[in-house]
This record gives sequence, structure tokens and C-alpha cells, in this order.
Amino acid sequence: MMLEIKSEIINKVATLQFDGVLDISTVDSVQTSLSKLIDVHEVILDFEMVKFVDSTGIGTISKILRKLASEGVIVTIRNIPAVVFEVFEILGLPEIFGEEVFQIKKS
Amino acid sequence: MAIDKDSMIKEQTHRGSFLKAKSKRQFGRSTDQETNDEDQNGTVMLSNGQVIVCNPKGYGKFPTISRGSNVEVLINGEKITSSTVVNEGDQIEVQVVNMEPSYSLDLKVTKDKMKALLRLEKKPGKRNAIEDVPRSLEVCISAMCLQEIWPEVELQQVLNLLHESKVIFGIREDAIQEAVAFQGKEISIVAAVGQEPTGVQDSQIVYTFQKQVANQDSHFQSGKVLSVSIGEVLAVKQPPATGYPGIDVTGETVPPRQPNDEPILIKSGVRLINDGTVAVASISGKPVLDGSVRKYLSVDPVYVVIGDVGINTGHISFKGNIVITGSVLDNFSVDAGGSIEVWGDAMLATLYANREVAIHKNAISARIQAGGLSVNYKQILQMLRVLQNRLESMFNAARILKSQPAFSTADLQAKGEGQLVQLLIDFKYKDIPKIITAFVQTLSEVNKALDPLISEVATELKDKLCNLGPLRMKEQAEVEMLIANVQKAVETVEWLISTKVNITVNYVQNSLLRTTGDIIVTGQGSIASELEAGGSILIPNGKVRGGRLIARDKIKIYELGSPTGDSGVNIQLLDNCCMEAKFVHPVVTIEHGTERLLIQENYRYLRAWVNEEGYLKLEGVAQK
Repeated sequence: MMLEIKSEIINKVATLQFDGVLDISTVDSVQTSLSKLIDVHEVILDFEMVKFVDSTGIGTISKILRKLASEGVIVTIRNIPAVVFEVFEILGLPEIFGEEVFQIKKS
Repeated sequence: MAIDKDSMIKEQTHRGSFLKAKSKRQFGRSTDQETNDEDQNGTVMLSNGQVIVCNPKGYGKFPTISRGSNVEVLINGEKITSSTVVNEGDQIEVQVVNMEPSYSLDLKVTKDKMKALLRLEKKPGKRNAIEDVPRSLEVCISAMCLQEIWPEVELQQVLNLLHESKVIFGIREDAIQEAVAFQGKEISIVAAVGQEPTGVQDSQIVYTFQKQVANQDSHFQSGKVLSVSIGEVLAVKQPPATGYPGIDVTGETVPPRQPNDEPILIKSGVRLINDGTVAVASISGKPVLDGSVRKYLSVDPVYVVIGDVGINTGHISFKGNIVITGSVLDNFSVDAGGSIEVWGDAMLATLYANREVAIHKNAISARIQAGGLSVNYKQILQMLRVLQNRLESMFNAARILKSQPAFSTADLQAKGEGQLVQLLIDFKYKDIPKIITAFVQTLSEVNKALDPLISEVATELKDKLCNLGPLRMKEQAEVEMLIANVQKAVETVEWLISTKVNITVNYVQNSLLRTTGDIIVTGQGSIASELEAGGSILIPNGKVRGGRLIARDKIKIYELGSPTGDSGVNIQLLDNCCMEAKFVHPVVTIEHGTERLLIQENYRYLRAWVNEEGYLKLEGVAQK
């Protein structure tokens, strides 16, 4: 399985659309994509097409969230499929990073 | 009603005469008794079943008949129900009423169908005969019992009843035969008995080391230490046997019960082999079997000091049990995670044990504490319970996470399960490493020899769940094992808190003794010492002179105070503690809460206790 990331920056707001799986095999590409973002005020990670995650993927996302937050960048993960959101919730991610960061996909 | 006309006229005539006579008597006679020879009352008599009536003479009364028991009386064909006047012309018929014998059979099958109970009630019949009655004005006709006839019950009748009730197995014909032949009102028998399943045997655990301990008791005086060596068999389990089915009274098969299969429960120092049927010592030490309901087998390490604890040994601190074949000398201390046993004296020494302390000789100017870590253990228990709860919660979260369709476990197979544990600790269970750190810190602050299991668990928790420890875990079973070990530690600490341990010493002088259980002074007594027991203080043959005694259950002393009155003793009764002393000399103070009683006389058999209202009471025989 692969992960395709489409990136778009409009008015210093970067939107990254994830399509595929967020796991040990794809975390490097996530980090590469995010490292390319320079001078942005807000980052939106669109998870609509994320099929599943693993512990490495979650670990990477949490590192990114921490790093961007420390740089003063607003981060939102939107369109999270319910099944993926369930995983985040079990791990308590919304409690740690703020519930506003995680936006579940509307069915 | 069948009364003929003539007799009615005749009767009316007699009545007319009677009334007439009566009216005469109103003026001329004061009683019914005959006073005139010409007037004579009529009579009735019964002889050999015959009723013989004699009419009165003059103005005498006509005789009467009434019906007694076991008869029907017909006068001129009409049954009488009350006293009735008769005369010679009446046709009097007496019918004897006999009673026929009867019986009833009641059969009940028990709920488990293993017994059929038969109850046979018999009512005997009666053959009666009319009783003779001598000549009299008023006669009551009765029949008396001549013969009692018991009902006849046939064996076959009972067998038929059993058959109707589907009782076909285990029928006890002998017992039934006896019952049917029984001449009495009621008999209950077991008419049929099923066959119980046989051969079921629960598993049995034989603690082989107990025999050795019993044998070693005889070596007590020679200084040998109760111990087992590594590899020694401590317990053997005899496996359960399933047994054979039985059969109930209806002929149905009764399966045998499932035999109980209790495992050998072990704690530290013991290993199970042969599929858990044999327990062997995994360390050398003292075998211990404890627990009130579930018995846990463990081996506590034993440290033996041959000779005295003194300049040659230094202070002694050991996580297990300590046995000192000599004495503990001035200014030296002994600190044990288990028990302390001193064959000699404790002189100006400090002894501190989690479990019991036994000093075979004397404690002089010593400080001795047994079970003294209960306060620390309470704190430890609280932390362990929180940890246990959090670990179980984390384990469940991991399980749920892995069952999620959107969660892949492929990386866990590559990196190990510890990756997931780390993730959980990073996010939802951040508090776990903090609790572990606090737990380890608490253990180090206690600065006493704790039960080794607690320290082992603390080390394991720190290694595996703090810092990057989780990432080193490969299998989920490691987390399960960790939780199981915490559970074991919780059970151990619970036991340590609930267990009351004793201090046993021959003689105490100028010392401080404190324990959660009993203080037993076996020899001459306690002089100027402070004894504090969570249980009882027992000095059955000794004297207590000076000092203070505090107990929660009972204080029993032979002699309290000194005859010269210069060794006052202070007794403090906690809760509902009572005190008994055979001889008491002034001055003794007995306290309970804010109450204080001062004894300034000599007493024998003094007893002090707290009554239901919570007041301190005293009774005893005052001596002049």
C-alpha cells in the first residue's frame, strides 16, 4: 500500500491531501512533504482518503503536530474517517492536542 | 318419625301424672327424693345388652335414658339425641357402633430422586360392647371397646404405590415389610434408596515440607534453622479422580459431580514442575504456607548468623528471615524483611522485622518492632492498586486498538509490541511512568527491608514502563506478566497488612516492644518496659513492674506492680481490650480513652474491662 500526498498552498494555508495508508512504509513521505512547507501559518491535513494507520504512523503525526504547534502553526486534521478517528480517540489524541484539531468526516 | 299413636297417649298420660305430682310436691315436699313409701321412682338398668325398664309407683318419676359413646339408641324406632323418658311399654333398641380399621399411604420422592420416603398412617378399628349399668333413675347407655383391630396393609399395595410413582430402583422390601407389619399409628421409612455416584476425588495437595518442619522442631534447642534447600520438594498434588455414575430411585443415571481441581498456589521462592503437580524450592530458605482461604506456598530466604551480632558482623539487614544463634550485642541493629529469631539476648540492640520476632533469652534496653511496616505497606498498597488499575486499563486499550479495522499491526510484528505500549504511554497513559517513579521513590524512602517481591516488581516496572523501556518489549505477554506480577505484589502487601505478627521473649527490662500482633513474655516478666501490642499482651507467669502496657485485645498478667508500691504501672486499654491480673499491687493506673482509674490497694483476681456503654469497669478481691 502506498500513500499519495497532494499539497496546495493558498494564502499561507497549506492543505495536504492524504490518499492511502499512514504506516511504517509511508511515514517518511509524510515527513518529507511537511518539511517542504515554509512560511505557512496554517496546515490542513485532509485524511478523507486515509484507509488505515499503524502505531508508527500515529507516532509520526503526533510528532508533526507537536513540532508545528511549537512553531505557532495552526494544524487541523479534517475529514477523518470514523474508523480512523476511533483509533485516535482510543489513544486519547484529541484530549492531548485539542478536540478542534481533529474533525471527523461527515457522512 | 315413627311413633305409634297409643304410646303417645300413654306418654302424655304419664306426663300428666308427673306434672300433677310435681305440683303436689310444691306444697308438700322439699326434694325429689322419695319420702313416701308409696311413691317410688321408675328405674332402668342394662344387663347383658338388655334394657330393663321399671315404671314408677305412686308419684315417683319415670326413668330416663341418654345416649353415650359408641351407641345409637332407638326408642320406639326413633333415635334419641338427648335424655329421654321411658316406660315399660317402650320398645328400646340399642345399636352398638363399631369402628372399622383404616390406613393411608403417603409416598414422597426427594428432589434429587435419591430417596423415596413412605409414611404409613394406621387407624385401628374398634369392636365395642354395651356396658352394663345398674338400676337407676337416669341411665346413660354406652359401649366400651372390647377389641382393637389394626388394619392389614399388604406389601404389594406399597409396591404398587412405588410403581405408580415410577420408583423402581433400590426398593427396600425388608423395611417396607416391617412398616406394613407395624402396629402403631404412624411409621415413616425410606422405602427406596438410589445409588450415589462413587469414586469422585478432589485434588489433594500434600505439603511435604510440613513434615520436615515438624521433625525439625525437635532440633530447635540445638540451634538448627528451619529451612529447605534449593530443589527440595515442598508440595505434591494428587490429581482429581472423575468417579463413576450412580442411579436414582427412578432408575435414571446420576452423573458424578465434577471434582475440585485446586492448583498449588505459589509465591516467590517456589517453582512448579510436572504440569503444576509438584512444587519445589527455587531458593534455599524457610518454607512458608500462608493465606486464610487460599494457601500460598513460598520460600523466604534465611540468613543465619552463627554466633553474636556484634563487632565481627556489623549491623545486619536482610530482605528475608534472619536467625542469630547467639545474641545481638550493644548498639547493633538487625533489620529483616521477614522474621528475626535470636537464640541469645538482645542487649541495648535494635531489632526491626516485618514479621515475627522471637528472642529466646532476654531483651535488655532493647528496641524491638515486629510487623512495623504496616503503615508503609498501606501506602505501597494504595500505589500498587492505582498502578494495577492503570495497567489493566492500558492493556484493554491495546486490545481494543488492535481490533480496530483502521489500525494496522504490521509494524508491531516488525518492531515488537512495545511500540504500541510506548504509544499508549505517550498519549493516554502518561501518568503510568510518573506513578512508577513515585512508587520506587516511596520504597527507597521506607529505608527498611521490604518484602523482596515488592522490590522486584518495582524494578521490573521501572525497567519496562519508564523512559524507553516499553520499546524493548517484544511480546504482549510481557505486559500481561507485568500485570500478573503487580497483582501478586498487591496480594502480598494485602497479606502483610492484615497479618498480625507476634513478639516472643523470655524476659524484658527497660525495653520498648511494639508489634501488630501479640507480645508474649514467657519467663519472669517485664521490668520498666513499654509494651505496645495491636493484639494481646500475655505474661502468664511473670511480673510487670514499672513501665507501660498498651493493647487492643487482651492483657493477661500474673503479677502487676510491686509489693513496695514503688513500681507503678500504666495500663492503656484500646478499643474493647480487657485486662486480667492474678495479683495487683498499688500503684497501677488503668486508662481507656479519657477515663482513668487508680488502684491504690492490693487486689487479687483483678479484671478491668470496657462495658457495652463504653465505660471502664473493675472487679476483683481487695486485700487488706
